[in-house]
Amino acid sequence: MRRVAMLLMLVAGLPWCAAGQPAAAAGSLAIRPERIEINLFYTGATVQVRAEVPAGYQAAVRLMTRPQRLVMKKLGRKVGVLWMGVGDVAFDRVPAVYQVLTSAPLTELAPRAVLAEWGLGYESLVPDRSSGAALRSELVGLKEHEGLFALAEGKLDGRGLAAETRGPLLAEAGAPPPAAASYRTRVLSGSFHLPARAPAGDYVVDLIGFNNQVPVQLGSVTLHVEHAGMARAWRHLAIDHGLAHGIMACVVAIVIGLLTGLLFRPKSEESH
Amino acid sequence: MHLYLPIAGNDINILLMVGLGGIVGFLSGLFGVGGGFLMTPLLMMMGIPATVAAASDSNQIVAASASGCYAHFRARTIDFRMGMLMLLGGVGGGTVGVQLIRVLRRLGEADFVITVVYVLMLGGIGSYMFFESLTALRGRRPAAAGAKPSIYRRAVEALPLRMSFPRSKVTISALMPALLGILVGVLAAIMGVGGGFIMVPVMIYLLRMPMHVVVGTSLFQILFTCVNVTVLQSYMNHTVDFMLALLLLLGSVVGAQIGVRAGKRLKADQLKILMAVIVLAVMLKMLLGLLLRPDFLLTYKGGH
Repeated sequence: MRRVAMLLMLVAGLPWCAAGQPAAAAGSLAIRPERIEINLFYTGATVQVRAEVPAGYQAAVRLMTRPQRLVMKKLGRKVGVLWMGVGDVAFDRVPAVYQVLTSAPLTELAPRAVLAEWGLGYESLVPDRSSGAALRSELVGLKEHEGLFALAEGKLDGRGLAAETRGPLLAEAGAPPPAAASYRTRVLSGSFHLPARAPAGDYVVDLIGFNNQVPVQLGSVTLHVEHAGMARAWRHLAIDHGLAHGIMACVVAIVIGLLTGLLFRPKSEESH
Repeated sequence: MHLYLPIAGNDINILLMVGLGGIVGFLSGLFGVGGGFLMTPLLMMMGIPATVAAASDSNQIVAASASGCYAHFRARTIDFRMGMLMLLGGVGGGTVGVQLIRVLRRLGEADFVITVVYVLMLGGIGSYMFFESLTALRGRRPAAAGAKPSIYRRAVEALPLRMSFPRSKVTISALMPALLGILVGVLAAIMGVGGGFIMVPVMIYLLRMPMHVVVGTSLFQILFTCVNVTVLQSYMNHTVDFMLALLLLLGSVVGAQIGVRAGKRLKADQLKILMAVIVLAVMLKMLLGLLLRPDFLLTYKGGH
């Protein structure tokens, strides 16, 4: 009885949900790999993206970590000539990694306010009225320099991949078979590059479609980045057994130092 | 060939790190300094977080100074009595310095005060060492015999608890090395470095120790200071990346041995003038860092 009521509520809610979105808004998103293991020889990873959107749509794929409060040191001038720390600045909700691939320049996808509402573009991370807004470009510049932030406009492309897809795509979305015209889909692809310094954790990858500058969420997947093997074991030792790790690090260092000392002993001493 | 550093959370070139360790280890063996003032900024430039760079560098210095200490122990150029007194003072001074830096930070002027003091001190010590050694190398020693003792000398001689330090060939109050150890400890804590390059000039000019004993004794003191820092950082902040330290120390222990051998072939004044050049170079680098606009007006918190 309870299940029937929930089903009725869902059916009743469907027209309302669809009202703000373009018709037949179905899509799919796939990433490869879905899991990245950070081992001792990890130098970063490339994540391939394959997105399928209704024909005529533009699209953006956004990869990001969970936004967190970030406090940084602000550099400025003291006594007119010396550059140094002049205080702290806090950014309320900034992800450690934020990368976006789009099929067209961001400004063509939707108006700025809409993009900001959907978390697309750097303005959405540090809004104009938020704390730290004055230093947004500095934050973005630093993060881009580290390879953690990237806005690759027009790099989500479908060269030679446009296709007419039936069945599976819409079946995935659980939608009823639409009219023949809406079967046409556009396949887009691109890639994200995660540098080695990108932190471990779950990254959310979202596919957002744009139909006549109206955005719609078309898919979302999670990318798992985790430590493995020796890197994981070593982190465990260093973080969960810090004292033992510190003592071991010193003992090993002293032993290596003394052994090298013995190895480099002058020949005059060896003969005694 | 790259290796991922589990605590630093970044990858680095293995050969580059071993080479960097070798160069800093060479300086360590040659001058009796830890090399943290040189290594930590270089590691930060390579993308290692400041806190991890400083803590792992301490771990690396343990190996380099153990290696250098062993060489100096064999050569009988460590004054253990002097070293122990300075070490005790240094531990006390370090504790005071940590509290002092908290007060300065609360006042909001810590960075400014520290940086300016740092540059002025390096400039002063470096210039004095440079010109003094240059004068000596030219064969013109300042007339000391018969001259009236300075106020400093008279004050030192008036201190109680006089003690003989045969290896350093000096007889002074035991309070002197302890007090100077406290001073160096305070400065080292404020500046966030091991203090070797402050300790060495202090031993040369204020304690009047022979240059070769200065290097060995400084390394002895640095060894214990860095063991303490490594264990504390690993236990309290989890910022010691042993993988990074291991790569650096593989280079530095060899470099330290070569440095010790090179030091033996140089005259004391030649060593002093080279040390002065290094100190002045660090001062110039810091001064440029203060005068040139940084690439970004934001930086991550942490580190020294």
